[in-house]
Amino acid sequence: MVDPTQISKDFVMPTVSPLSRTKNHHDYFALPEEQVGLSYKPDYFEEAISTAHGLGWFEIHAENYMVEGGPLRNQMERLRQNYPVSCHGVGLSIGSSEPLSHAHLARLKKLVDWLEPAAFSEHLAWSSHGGLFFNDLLPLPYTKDTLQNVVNHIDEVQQMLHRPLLLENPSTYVTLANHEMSESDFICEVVKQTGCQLLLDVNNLFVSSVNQRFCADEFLKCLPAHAVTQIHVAGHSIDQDDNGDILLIDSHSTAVSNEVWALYRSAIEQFGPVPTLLEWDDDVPDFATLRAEAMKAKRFMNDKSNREPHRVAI
Amino acid sequence: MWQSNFAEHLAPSITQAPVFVQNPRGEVSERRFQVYRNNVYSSLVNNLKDGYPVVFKLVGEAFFKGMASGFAARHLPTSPVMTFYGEAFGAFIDQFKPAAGVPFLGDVARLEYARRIALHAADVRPLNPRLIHEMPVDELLDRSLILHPSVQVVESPYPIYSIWLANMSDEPVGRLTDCAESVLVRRLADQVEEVELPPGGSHFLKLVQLGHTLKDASMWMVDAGREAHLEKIMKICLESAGSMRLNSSPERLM
Repeated sequence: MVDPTQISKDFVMPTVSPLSRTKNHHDYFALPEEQVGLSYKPDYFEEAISTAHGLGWFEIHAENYMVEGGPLRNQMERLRQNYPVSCHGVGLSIGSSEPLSHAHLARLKKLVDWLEPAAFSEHLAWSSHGGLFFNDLLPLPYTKDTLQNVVNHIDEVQQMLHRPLLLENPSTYVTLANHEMSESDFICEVVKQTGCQLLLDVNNLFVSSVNQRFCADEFLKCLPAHAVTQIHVAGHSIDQDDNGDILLIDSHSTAVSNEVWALYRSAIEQFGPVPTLLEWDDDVPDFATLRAEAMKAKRFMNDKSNREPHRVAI
Repeated sequence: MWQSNFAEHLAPSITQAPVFVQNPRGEVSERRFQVYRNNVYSSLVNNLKDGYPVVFKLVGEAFFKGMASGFAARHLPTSPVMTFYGEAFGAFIDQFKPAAGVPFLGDVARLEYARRIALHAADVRPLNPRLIHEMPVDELLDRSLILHPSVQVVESPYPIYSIWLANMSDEPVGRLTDCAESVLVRRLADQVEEVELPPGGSHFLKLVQLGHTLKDASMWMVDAGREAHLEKIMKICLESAGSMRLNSSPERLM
């Protein structure tokens, strides 16, 4: 005969405790300086969790982990023991003229409380409108109105998460006729008003500068150096528009181009050895290839020649 | 204003860009805008392709792309959590006339979606088999169970489990029996499992999910002439339990 009270005690649903801090726990709100990271894929979990590859951190897409449980989250609990993880949102729609989704903010808060990421970043873009999610990072005009919206949204996220948001500059394929200011001016104003940090995606910057014909070097010079706390590099593909003009696509499907590496060197010359991430999300090669590509960034960081001013030809 | 204009032009049936979307020469650029439209719809089709590998295998790439594009055009996501996108794909397939010759396709899609739900369900320890074993049968039968949160049941008038299983490997597909199959999908640890249910099994589980005792559910099996399958479904049910309640009726659970 089994005591029913004993049974009910035994079968209490286990509560999921926040990830425990480890002895090598990093600074709560910062990724390790001079360290390069990779956008994490569950396919290479075993390689990633090893401590021998020389990479310093990993990035996950927030929305992929907004699930109740399962092996994906279990793997992340283990990876998190060995490496700082940066949480990269793709669904907040910060650039929207509509209010942020409170349901999504709540999911994000729950995720961040669980994961305790070293950084949280989102995009200067929108992806939701009228109750629909477009699953792409769409461009916004840079106007007084959109500035106010973006500032309000970032304030809301930072208050909710109790941590700074890192805002990523977008890759764009079009010029919007209703811009009232440049992207760099817009971003500087957002930083000034919200105290947010910047995730400088040099591939996005290169893609946008070619597609919209502005000077990427000038863009870099405009950015507030203190705010740039993370850099992304990635590959792009080359296409043409209706006029036969070059149109670069932010495909994340190839190695980083020489032009983007050159821009990267300019960036670390200006901003220092900021934690840098390689993104490669389509036609993903094996871990060794990803690692080798990411470690190029570390070599550039260590390269003394970076101390010399470096100009980039676009 | 600019945003709804941009969003409306993303529809796949539209071939023009909004007038404020331009190239650096100051001309409206359909080709450049098309990059965004392509990103939206190709990402949704790819999401469905990854989420429904057996449906993809059954109909082939060209057919799948056509079907998935039709679905995406009518069912844009309503949440940024793309892990759960495509829940209505099975129902869409049921109504998709070109797929009428593959009548089991919608059920196979529902089975694949159930596997996805089970994979990401909350991690809950299953009921301890030792305690079940030690409990007197009468007492056990007076209990009702709460099934594990990963448990999904997919019913079909077609042999969907055999079809699904045969298409999960590259082995040649043997002759399939022409009988109805219902499948329980669960993830009690790391791996998603599929268990073919015996006749009457899905109704037995429904009664359990409604809060009926194992005795009530068993009596239904007997009354329905499914007594021969009672032992099997009882075993599946106990393995798939997350926790146990004291004797309860559905009324008392409410």
